[in-house]
Amino acid sequence: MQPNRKLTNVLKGRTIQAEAGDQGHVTITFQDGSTLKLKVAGQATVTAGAKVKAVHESGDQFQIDVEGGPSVQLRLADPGSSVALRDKNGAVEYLG
Amino acid sequence: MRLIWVVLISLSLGLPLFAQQPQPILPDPRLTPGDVFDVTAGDVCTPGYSRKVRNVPQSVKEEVYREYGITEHHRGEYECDHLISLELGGSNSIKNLWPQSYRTRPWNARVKDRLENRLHELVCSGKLDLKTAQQAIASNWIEAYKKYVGPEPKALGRPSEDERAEMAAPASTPAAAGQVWVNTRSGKYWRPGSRYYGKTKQGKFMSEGEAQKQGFQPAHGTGE
Repeated sequence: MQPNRKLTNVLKGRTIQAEAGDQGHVTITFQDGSTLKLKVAGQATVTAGAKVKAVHESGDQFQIDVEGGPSVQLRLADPGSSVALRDKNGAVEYLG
Repeated sequence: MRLIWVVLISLSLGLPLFAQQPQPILPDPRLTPGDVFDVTAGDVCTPGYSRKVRNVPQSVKEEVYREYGITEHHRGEYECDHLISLELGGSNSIKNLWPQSYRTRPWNARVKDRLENRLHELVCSGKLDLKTAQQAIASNWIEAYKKYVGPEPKALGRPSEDERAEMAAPASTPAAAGQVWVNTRSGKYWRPGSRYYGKTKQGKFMSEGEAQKQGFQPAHGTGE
């Protein structure tokens, strides 16, 4: 899977605080107040307290590597239109 | 002898010899209905917004060309265009991408860029609702051009010498001396006399104070 450098540069070092999911969506909140929203096909398990190391993405495959734990693996519902990261004030940090 | 002339004329015009590739001026709505991110006018009007969007991967661009039956193309022939432009909240979904020709006349990728800039201006000045702009450009960008920019444009295919000179010159004239040129895509601004003053694809003139108020930053830290 290809590294997503743009998102890795933004997310690297942030610590996952919580994860919530409903039909077709996963929301990951980080300790700095930023929020990553993903439109997904299927489900994902996210470990709170894990620190992001890198992000990889190819087609509909999306993966967040974290320090000292298993990677978070997701299948995107619509590649290119499924990932949105906003900071604690709601400003766009990344879209893809 | 006739074949030699055909070959020579084709080569001199830069045309493919035998296999004519598709050159759509409107996207196929079944392949490219348009797609947007969940963003507001406030988001897309924030300087540097479109830099936050991931670049379209090459593999996706290749898929777009395949979908449209374009089996070969050369640099400068097509743009893998966002039907709803990034500046209007368009996404990188393949549903929002299509191969737009630079060579068709008068409607081509350069002309559509003008429409995209105009709609962005209207949205960010509060004169047009973002959703309306998105729908207008997605449903028929040529009709949207006629409505929001003006009548059929002067042909802009491979630019003539005059047009190249025009493009090399500042995109417009500053309303007042000393205004800076803001690159609305990158979120940076350039001072008079600097390399990209008035020359970036997307941008406008304004006072330095206004540029800073709107969140633009000097290019290279100095605007020079």
